[in-house]
Amino acid sequence: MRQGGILYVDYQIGVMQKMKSNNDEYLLETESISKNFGAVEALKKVDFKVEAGEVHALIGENGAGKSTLIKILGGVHQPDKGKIKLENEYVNFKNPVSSQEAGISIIFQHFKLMPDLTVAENIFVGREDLKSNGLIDWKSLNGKSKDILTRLDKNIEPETPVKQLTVAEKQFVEIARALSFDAKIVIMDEPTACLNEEESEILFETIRELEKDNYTIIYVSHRLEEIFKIADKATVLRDGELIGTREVAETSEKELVRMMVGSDIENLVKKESEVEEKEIILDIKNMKINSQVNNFDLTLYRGEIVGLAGIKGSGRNKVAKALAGILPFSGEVFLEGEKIDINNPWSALDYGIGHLPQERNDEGIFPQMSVKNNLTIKALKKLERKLTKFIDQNKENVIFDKLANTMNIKFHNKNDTIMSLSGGNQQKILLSRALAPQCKVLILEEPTQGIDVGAKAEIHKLMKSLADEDEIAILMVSSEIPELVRMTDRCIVMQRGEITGILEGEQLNNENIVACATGTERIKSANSEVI
Amino acid sequence: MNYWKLYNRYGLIIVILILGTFLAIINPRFLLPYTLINILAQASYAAIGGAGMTLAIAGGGFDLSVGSILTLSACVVATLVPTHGILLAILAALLVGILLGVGNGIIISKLDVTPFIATLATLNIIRGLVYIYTAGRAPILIRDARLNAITAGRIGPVPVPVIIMIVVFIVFYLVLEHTRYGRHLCGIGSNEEAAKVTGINVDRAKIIVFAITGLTAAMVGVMRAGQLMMADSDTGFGYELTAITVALVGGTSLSGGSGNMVGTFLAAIFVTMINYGLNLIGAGVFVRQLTLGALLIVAVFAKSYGGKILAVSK
Repeated sequence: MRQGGILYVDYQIGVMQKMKSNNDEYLLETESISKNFGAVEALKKVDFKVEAGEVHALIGENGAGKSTLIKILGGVHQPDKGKIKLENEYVNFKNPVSSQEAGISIIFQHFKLMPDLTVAENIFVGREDLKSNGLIDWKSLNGKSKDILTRLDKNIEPETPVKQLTVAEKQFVEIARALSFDAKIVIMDEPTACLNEEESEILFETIRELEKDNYTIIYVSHRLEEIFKIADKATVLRDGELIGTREVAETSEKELVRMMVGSDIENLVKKESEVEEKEIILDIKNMKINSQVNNFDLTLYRGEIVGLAGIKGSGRNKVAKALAGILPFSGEVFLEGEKIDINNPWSALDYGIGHLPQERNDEGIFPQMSVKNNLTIKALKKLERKLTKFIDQNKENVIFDKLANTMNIKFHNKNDTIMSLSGGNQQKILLSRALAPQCKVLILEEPTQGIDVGAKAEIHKLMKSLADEDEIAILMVSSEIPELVRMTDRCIVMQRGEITGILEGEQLNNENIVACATGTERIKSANSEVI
Repeated sequence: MNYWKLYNRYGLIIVILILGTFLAIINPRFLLPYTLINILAQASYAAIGGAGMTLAIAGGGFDLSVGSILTLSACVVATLVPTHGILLAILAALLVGILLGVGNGIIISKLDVTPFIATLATLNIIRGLVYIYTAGRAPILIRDARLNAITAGRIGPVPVPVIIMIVVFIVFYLVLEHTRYGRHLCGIGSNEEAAKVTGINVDRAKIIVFAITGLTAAMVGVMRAGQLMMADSDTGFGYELTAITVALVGGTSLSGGSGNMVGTFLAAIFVTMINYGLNLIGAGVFVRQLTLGALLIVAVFAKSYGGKILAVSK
């Protein structure tokens, strides 16, 4: 007995010593956290450790468990097993409020701001200062808000209604709100998903400021290049498991990708040889949109991928939307030599112009409808039985199965709603939807926005095979310059509604695209006189 | 948890069976074929309008003007039967319903007025038309008994309204579940912006769906006029609420994007059974109205509560 007792004490001391050494190092720690949703193991024994004052990136593909982990830290979910330790002490977050009170603030990807309230009201909603007569003390409220915004170096007036702000400004209001809780740890869920490059830079600047002020930041993102810009450390999750944590300064993009995907993604080989005999499929002459796009000419050849680059507001998305029949325009469009009138989206559809919209949620998915019905909605005309006009369910299933298979879409049941899929798979459904009616020309707006590395590679591969094997001409609008350089045969760059660059071959590189999109440079590659 | 799953799928059937057992206990004559068929015939009036309403709700709208359209069509058929004959009178009444519905659809799609405001306005406008049309004449009595035979008589043992109802439900079910138009409607109800971008002719689909609700209202108007052999300015009073209630109790969600035609059918029968039961125990019309309202809250609450439980247990 005595011996046993001694052993027991020893064991205790051992544990306590171990605990102590951890305490000094980490501000926030999860100990072997597991979480299941039904049969799905979202997290498996995750030990996630964050030091005080660092910017810690949390990366992984869709479905890797990032969201679950931050929701557990934020008190939205409770772990099935394991514990959370904050500043040395075990904590139990029963709900989001308890986590907030402990100093953890989450900025979710989809803002939870109330558009009609002012900036100050949004920051302090539910915690407004009251005057002695019970009315809101606007002076104090606006003053406090101004203080926080100034601390963030942001010139946003507290009295402005939130709906008048840009996306980036809204983000700063979210950050200001997080800080107003006296947060020690700010968790950002894909903060740049809706920002353009310029706005992202401003956000990074703010993150660096916050880091200087000794805030701890957990930064969830898909975009590796961002992590190298701002993060100190990166932790990779895959299939609910923590694969590893790396010092950003000591790792490489390649290594992180390998950790995320589990294997090397072969770099797609750029198409070397041009199509021998170029056959014109779409010819746009003198397109004019609302005086925001002028004199836009473009010839698309069968089987080529053409990029459309430019900063936001350059008109690149307007051209895409005009061709899809969403925006009215003047000018002439010829499809396979014949003049066509694209007056509305359904005529574009009938001509065989496929379109992937820019905003997945607002313009793409039908949330109440099933996975299958979301995919086939553009192809129904071809699926109608001749006599009864009923949809031929067998044919519909064949089309669905075929596309779901080539696109490698992961789903449980095709009759579940589309909301049961991850973002990457939703995007694949939308791409399949554009392809289902068998198009000749495919207009893609931001085809890989907000999806993970693996899905992105798959979509890229698919685009290549659509162009090479099915000889579809693809016009791709993208904000991601490396993607344009790697994927396109030719890239049109726009600035303020006009074409400022036509880049091909050697000249198609990052520097030239940026130069044409933002500077005074005008480049037209020699071998593209045809245009 | 599984009870909720069961309720979601078979809730109405279970509730109908329970209520049926109860009614059979307090009045054994309830189980006579005659009573059951009568209940179906009674249910057809709520069911047909409910079917149209289900389509409108699936498409993200709803139609408050059906009661007024019903009244006007009833008055049109009643006034035209003596002068133009039964067939033309019925066709004219149905045409009135379709045209008023097209008007609703144009206001909603082309003028971009929300369905609530647009149909609230036309509810009043059409009611005004009824008063102008029937000025000094209401109630308009119908003397041609053939109209009653056509709209409320029987073919063999089966009442005509039941046949009409069944045809309407089969057609509407097929339209909603098996046609391009049905899918497009659900797309519009689910995400209108996406529907536009996807190449759905949103305006046309909306105009058609309101023409359909107008048509169903006019059908019920003609049937009512034939049943009662008269029409007056109160014939369709409150019918819009009956139609919406039946659709919602049937499990169609007001948020749009899907419709439950079978549920609407069952809900119409259920509501009629409740009215039958209340009649049986001698409850007045006020109690019936009160019950209908309470029923709506209970049904919608059960659906959303059950849905939440299912979502969590997932």
